[in-house]
Amino acid sequence: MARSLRHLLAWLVTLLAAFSAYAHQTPGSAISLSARTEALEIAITVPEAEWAFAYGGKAPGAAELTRRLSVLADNGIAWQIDRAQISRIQEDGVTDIVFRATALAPAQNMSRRFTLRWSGVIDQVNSHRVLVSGSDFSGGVLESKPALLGVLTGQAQSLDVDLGEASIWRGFAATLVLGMHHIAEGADHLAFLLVLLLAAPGITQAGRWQSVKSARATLRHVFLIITAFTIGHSLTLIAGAALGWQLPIQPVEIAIALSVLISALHAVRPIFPGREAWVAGGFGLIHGMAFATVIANFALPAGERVLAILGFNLGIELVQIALALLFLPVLLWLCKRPIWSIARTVTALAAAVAALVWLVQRV
Amino acid sequence: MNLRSVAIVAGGAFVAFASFGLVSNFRSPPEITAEPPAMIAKPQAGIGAAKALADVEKSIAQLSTRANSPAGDMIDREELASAFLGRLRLSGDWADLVEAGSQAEAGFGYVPGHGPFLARATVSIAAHRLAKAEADLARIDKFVAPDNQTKADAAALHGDISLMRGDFSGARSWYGKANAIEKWPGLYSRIGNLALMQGDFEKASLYYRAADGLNRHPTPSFRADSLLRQGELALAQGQWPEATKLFAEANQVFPGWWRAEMRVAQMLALNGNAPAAISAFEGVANRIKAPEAMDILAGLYRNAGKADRARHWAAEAGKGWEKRLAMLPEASWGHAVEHELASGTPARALELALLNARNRPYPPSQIILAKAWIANGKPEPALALLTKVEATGFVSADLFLTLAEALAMKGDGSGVATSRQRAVEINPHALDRNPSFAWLDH
Repeated sequence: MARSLRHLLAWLVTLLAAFSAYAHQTPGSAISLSARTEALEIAITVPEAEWAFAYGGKAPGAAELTRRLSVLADNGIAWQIDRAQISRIQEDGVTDIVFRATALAPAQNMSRRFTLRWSGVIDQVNSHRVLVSGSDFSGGVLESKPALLGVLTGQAQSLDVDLGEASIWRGFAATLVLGMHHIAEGADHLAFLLVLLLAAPGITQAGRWQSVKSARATLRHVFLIITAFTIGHSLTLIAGAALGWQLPIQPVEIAIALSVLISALHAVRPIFPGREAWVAGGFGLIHGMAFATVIANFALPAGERVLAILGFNLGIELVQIALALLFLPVLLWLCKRPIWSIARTVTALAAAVAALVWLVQRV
Repeated sequence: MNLRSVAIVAGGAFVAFASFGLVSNFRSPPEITAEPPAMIAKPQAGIGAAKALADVEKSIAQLSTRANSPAGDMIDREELASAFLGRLRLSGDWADLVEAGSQAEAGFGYVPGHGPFLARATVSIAAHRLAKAEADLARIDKFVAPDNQTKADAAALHGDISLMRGDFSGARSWYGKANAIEKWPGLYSRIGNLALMQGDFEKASLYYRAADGLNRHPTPSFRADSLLRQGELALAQGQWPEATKLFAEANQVFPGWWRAEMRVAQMLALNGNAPAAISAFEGVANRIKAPEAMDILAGLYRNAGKADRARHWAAEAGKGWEKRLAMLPEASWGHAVEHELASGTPARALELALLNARNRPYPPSQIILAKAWIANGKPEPALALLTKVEATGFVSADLFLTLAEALAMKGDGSGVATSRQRAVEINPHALDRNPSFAWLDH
């Protein structure tokens, strides 16, 4: 075999396999449905370039988009498409057309089974896909984690949707779980509480932690700290979520990291001895703002919003209480031992280091 | 059960496992090992693709004269076939592959029953005619005393066939046999490709670099090819800066080569410079008339919202693929599917994908077939195929993205999330610029 042929061989094999690496994902559209008691809020996001490719560059008007959208009840009666509006958003250099509309159920009677139809781009472009997802408070599916419902294509321009039985308690339960997850996964919130509790048994003397209180006094102090933190974060959480505050996330996150740092240093050397509950309440207000950002943007009617806030807050409290119950026996046992001073200092310093890392990441 | 019984059962189980391990060890193909190269030789500077093309054309002219003379023989035809393959590499014109096949075939006209089997098998593999290649390799296997190089090359080609049939273990075994006879860069590149398909990126990198180290006198074209391969490995893992660097280096080492130019243009597009990418791809598309470049142009214009230009290039690419399909159908099916999926019809894509998957049932063909099923609104067969692909040990971000697409059609949100996560673990850029999926990140 000619030597040159051998050299070419490997190249040929890879050549004929390599081109798929050039292939790219074509951008698709997305439809987001939010089920309400008597209506369906619909948001349709279409890449502007795909619309231009499909219809020759003509920008769509609300009337045209409305014509391409329909929601049909079980009995074939069309829902009324109302409050249609168009906006544009830009992300990563890609411009999307966002079409929002409300579909009103016939005779103000929301059916939980309907057919969604949409023909934008897919009636012209075979490779375009439309991902349909939905949230439904009464079905326990929150906006923060919408459920995937299906995909629309040129060959399948309609999708049958069955939201199942409605129960506001499902929404309440879902927000309760969301609250539990949020605090359980929020290491900064937990670290703040932990370092404040570390200082609870302490008695200061000459600017240092010298001795510890009785178990009864410690328990009372812990109860006050947790209650103050709960009142603090509940106030801002409820206010923020109920009033739909658009809070700047970065300053809140920085303030939370600072709250952990200050409380950790307090556990090493007393900074505000005896006033831990006040500090817990004060910083609790900031932590509550962060909690509020999770559910403040839920577009829910007043009744469902109240339930969502209650459920979310209750979820946070449940995890907080569970952790306190786990931590307290250890705290009460350990604070009477000679190793307590070292254990408190080491734990507090570890939390301080973590807080510094969060600070650097968030600034 | 008393303690003694437990000990007997445990002892029996240990013996059974040990025996199984021993037997498995005997059956498994020999382990192939490579060392990182101590140094990589530098190619001669100043030889670009244009000069290389002029040289190969001169060589083709000389060889043709000799082969067509009364003194012409089988070896001349084999060398001519090799020269046409060399020109294919530089020209990107599949007519050169057809001509290489004709020359290899003509080599059988001198001695009855004998000819350049290995050259013809090579061309057949390049044209994805596996059965034909296998028949020629079977003849080589029956040679009384083939030389070591022929034996090693034939084993490597057997490995390529196994790979394209989706038999990774068979491919590994054949490559191991070739490696036991002789080590050469092309073999190490293949072993690297196999490792890449199985998601062992470190091993792939090691073998690609080791392939470089085996060539003491690399040509600029060899070095550029190696750099492109390493860049493609980086690209598969979403390492864009590394891929950009390697592709640029390939383009610098062997300037004017369309393959390197396309990769450089691809990185321009990925790094957000669409106008420069379009300009570079248009240069290649106009010069080489490669439909794959035209398809990319159509996509870039589509993303830019320039429908007329997008449709123009899609139509041009369509003509190019039809021409290739007529010329070398087996080699074209898999690539023409991509064109049909992006710019053609789902029915035609499925037709081509089925032909391709029957011919080369390895994972990439199965994935593209799954895409064709999805395009036809049928996620079930796509899911069945992709599940089988996953079981082979094949790993790529594309596999999991396609799986996510099929699961999305079934409304399986958690399955979509898991598949997307796996795609991103392989390639952090896997979900870039895909607004439909980004929606679920809210």
